[in-house]
Amino acid sequence: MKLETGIRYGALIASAGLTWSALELLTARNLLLSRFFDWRVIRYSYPPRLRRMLAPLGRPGFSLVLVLYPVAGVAFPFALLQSRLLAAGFAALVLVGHFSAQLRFGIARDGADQMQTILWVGFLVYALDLGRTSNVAAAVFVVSQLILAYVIAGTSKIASARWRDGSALAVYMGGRAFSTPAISRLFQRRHVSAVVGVRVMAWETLGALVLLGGRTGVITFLAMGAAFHVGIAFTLGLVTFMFAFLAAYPVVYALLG
Amino acid sequence: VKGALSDLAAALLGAWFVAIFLMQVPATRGAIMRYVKHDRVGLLPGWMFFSGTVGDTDVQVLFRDRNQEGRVGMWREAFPIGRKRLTDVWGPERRIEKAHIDLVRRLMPWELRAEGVRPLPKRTVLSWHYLMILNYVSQLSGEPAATERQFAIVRTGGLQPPRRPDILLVSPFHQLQSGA
Repeated sequence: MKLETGIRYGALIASAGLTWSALELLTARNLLLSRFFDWRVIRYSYPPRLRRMLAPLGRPGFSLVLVLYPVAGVAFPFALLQSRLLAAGFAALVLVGHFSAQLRFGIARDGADQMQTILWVGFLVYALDLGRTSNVAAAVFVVSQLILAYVIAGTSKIASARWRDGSALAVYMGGRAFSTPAISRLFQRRHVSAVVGVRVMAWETLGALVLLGGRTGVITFLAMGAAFHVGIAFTLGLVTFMFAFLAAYPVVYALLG
Repeated sequence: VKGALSDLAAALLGAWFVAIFLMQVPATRGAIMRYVKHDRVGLLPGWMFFSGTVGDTDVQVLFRDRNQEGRVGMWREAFPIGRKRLTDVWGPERRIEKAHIDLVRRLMPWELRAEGVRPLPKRTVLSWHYLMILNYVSQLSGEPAATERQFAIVRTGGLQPPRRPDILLVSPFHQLQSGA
């Protein structure tokens, strides 16, 4: 697979995540934008000069930004077929919209939002087509962040006593915020929590080593990772993480496969 | 010129990677965190998913009303959290759940390590984090003749067998603009 094809597929998956996130916000915009994340309060989290600059984020038309930037994301892979400059414009629009949304909410940013930033900066640099060095660097940056995220998540779990003693998943799945009653009951069984916990730590810490196994290794890595993220989407309800992390997979395949 | 720009872009991405890497290393995190305080768009992520205390308990906001006669109502949940089924993956309210956690951590990080309720410093009551919760809670419908409203932030065991919740913060009563 050519690097450009990998970037295009990656952008499509990333855009699906942005669209999912935007639709969630738009369907509950009265609760989220008007009542909970009330700009009249959040604006005071910024210094006065910045507050004046960010004033448009508080206008009712801000919802339009939430519609437009996922659309720019979907347009990016198609534009990449026609013109790199046009595609770069769409990637820049995505980043402006994405950053605006982060500033508008002020808090509640998660790892999926941060991975989207990594992806779209990588896609933007690639689309700018400044030269072979930056094109490859953009893809390497995305892939290395993906691997770094897994390795850090894994090693920090190993450093945690509750992950080592097998109780961590029972604790996390016991909360209402992420889990469901059925999943919680399942993970209250000590051996389930311990066995799944060890597998999560092993996958996150060592999974990337599989990439050294050539094309077969890359495919194995991608399959294991896809299963991991789909599992997380349903057990923890973190669907946007699934899109944000799987969006880097076609780039992994294009670069290493 | 294009070649130089290409090298520059690659170098910037490399520098960014190093900064993100240093953010993950406990020994260098402190220095990076000084910058992160001003990073409002998340350029320096922390990849330590589910290895700390975030997400290991539920944080809930409760509120109750007081009427003109001084009668205080029952505590109510300001925002019901949680999923019921495995297929409940559509979650606009997830951002509010994450906001609860972030707000609590920023409002009073010490309470997460200490037991009991402490008097609220003036700085806390005037912070935008506190005002954000107060603003939201004030818009909810409550007792018909309520004139004042108070909120509390509690930490609960979630789906575990019920236990006494940890009270992290109890606000004073705040006047409602027009009976809720």
